[in-house]
Amino acid sequence: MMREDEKSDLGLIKIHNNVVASISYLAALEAEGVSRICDDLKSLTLNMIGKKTKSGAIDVRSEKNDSVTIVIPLIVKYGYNIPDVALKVQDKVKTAVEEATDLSPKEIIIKIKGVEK
Amino acid sequence: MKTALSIIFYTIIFALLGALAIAFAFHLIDLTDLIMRIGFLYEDTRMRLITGLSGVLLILLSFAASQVISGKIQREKTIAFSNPNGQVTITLSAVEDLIRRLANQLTEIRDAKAVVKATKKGIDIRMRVVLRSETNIPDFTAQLQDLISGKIQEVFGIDEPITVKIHVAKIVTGEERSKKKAEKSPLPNEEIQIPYQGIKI
Repeated sequence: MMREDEKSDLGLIKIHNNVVASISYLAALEAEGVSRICDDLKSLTLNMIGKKTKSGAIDVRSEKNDSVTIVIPLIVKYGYNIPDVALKVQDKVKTAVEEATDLSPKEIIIKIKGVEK
Repeated sequence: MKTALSIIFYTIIFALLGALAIAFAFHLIDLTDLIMRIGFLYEDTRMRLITGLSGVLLILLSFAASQVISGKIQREKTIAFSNPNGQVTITLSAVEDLIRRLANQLTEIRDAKAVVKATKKGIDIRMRVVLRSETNIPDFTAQLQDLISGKIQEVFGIDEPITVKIHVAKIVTGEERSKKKAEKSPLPNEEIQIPYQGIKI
């Protein structure tokens, strides 16, 4: 889904939800204690056919009032405090999305799916 | 929405099958007419193609519907808490992962499995462990219970009461271990004899 964000003199600037997902993906990986972002069937299939995605199973839901909700399923490294890691990821993603797109995420939902070394 | 569609899909299919069976039982279907229609489907190339494609479509729809239904049924249970920027959910399999890794770090434990259930009273952990024979079981299990509940409270930041039930399934002796090690490494310290070694051509 495309978001009609800004209107310049030359026309509309639209940001796709996949862009927000990719920014969130890269920002989440930067947080200390994150092992990896989970993949879903769609991203696995795309990877298999050679289309590498940088969004994993991150789900970006945009609402009518220009607000976005980002759902990030991730695996945490063993030995880290999970609430701390989740908080760091939320902060990093919020900052990255705000800086890159001028959008302010309404909610960043973190789903811890596992613990890895 | 998806679940409702899947249920409607299966309802229609089963209702059609049921109606056909009833019509067949009460002789509501003319057998010669039915055979003629089936013969037409069998002979005509276009009708065969349509029938084949319908079959493939029905199989795909059936798989999709079953996945949606089973997915809803087996929805993963989670532990959730809220942060200022949004909600955080932790799947119980992540808690099981952590317990398994924690247990495998202890030398007294040879193998461990954990099942975690979130109840209204708190978190219920059931562990099945295989211990080494030289372990003092009452002391060790008490330590393990404290360690697990403490670690979970620390790592997940959970304040709810945690019950850890430990089931010692097996006690492995030192001999058993050395036997298994020997089985794993079939080549002992013997020198390998290489035929025709040292012959120059």
